[in-house]
Amino acid sequence: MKKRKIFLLVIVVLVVGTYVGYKYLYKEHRDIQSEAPSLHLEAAALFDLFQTDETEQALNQTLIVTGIIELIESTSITLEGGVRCIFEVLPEGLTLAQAVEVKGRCIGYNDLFEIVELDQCQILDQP
Amino acid sequence: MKRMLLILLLTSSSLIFAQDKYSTKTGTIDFEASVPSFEEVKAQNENTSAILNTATGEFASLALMNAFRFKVALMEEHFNENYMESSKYPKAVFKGTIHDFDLSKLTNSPANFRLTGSMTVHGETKPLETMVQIYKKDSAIIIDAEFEVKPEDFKIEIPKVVSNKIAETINVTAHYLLNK
Repeated sequence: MKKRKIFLLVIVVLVVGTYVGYKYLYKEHRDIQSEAPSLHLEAAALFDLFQTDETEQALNQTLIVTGIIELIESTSITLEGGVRCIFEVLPEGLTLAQAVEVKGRCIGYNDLFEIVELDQCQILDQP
Repeated sequence: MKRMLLILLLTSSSLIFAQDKYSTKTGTIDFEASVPSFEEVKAQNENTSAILNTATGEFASLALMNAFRFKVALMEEHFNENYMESSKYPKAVFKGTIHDFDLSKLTNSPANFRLTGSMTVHGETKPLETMVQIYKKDSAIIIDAEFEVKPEDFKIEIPKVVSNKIAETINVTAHYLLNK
């Protein structure tokens, strides 16, 4: 009887351990759109942030950025003030000079084009 | 340091607005450091920037480390937090020259060119020399490169526990479709 209990316990520990280990090793990718934003700011303000050393609060963080669309490319839009928002698939119906609110993950400052870049973006609002 | 950055910024902005510049923001860099019979170690960055000066053959490319995507989320996290230290060194940069580059001689079939320059990864700058293939596609210029790097050259430490699961030389391929 006692042996059986120990045997069952070992099995349970093994199963739970494997499950927890598997969950840790193969955890889901971050879901940027369900994360709470750490900053909510205008495109120009985000650009200015990257001219300082205070980039920790933005880099690899989920942000909400507001701005006016100044450039539309195949998978991204660039907001006035120097912020490029990259989408998995570019949303339809965006036009130049349109005001938008975008949620995405800040991946850093691109010196070549002098823009701050966000990926995994989604349009929140287009008034 | 601040002044140097300013000069760098000023020269890079003149680079963008001049006439003979072809550029992209959606170049692709893939790397693979897989070891047979272990989990595949592979990532892709589909938002690599590059600028080519067709008058001089000067070429520059920039990849943000956080934009490298892995299939396994934990691997992506370790890549950024432990190995590349992406919050400290958020980008990889290459600056160099394509030798004997002549825009007028490019055709639709790939031709080999020698690319030399320096690559900065993880805060370490190392010379890089490789052959690249360049050809035209409509009005765009396509550059394909393939080369190998060693993590130790860029002072990237791989912990002993995982060192047998990550290849010693990392195979990197880059693909750019540059437009005027």
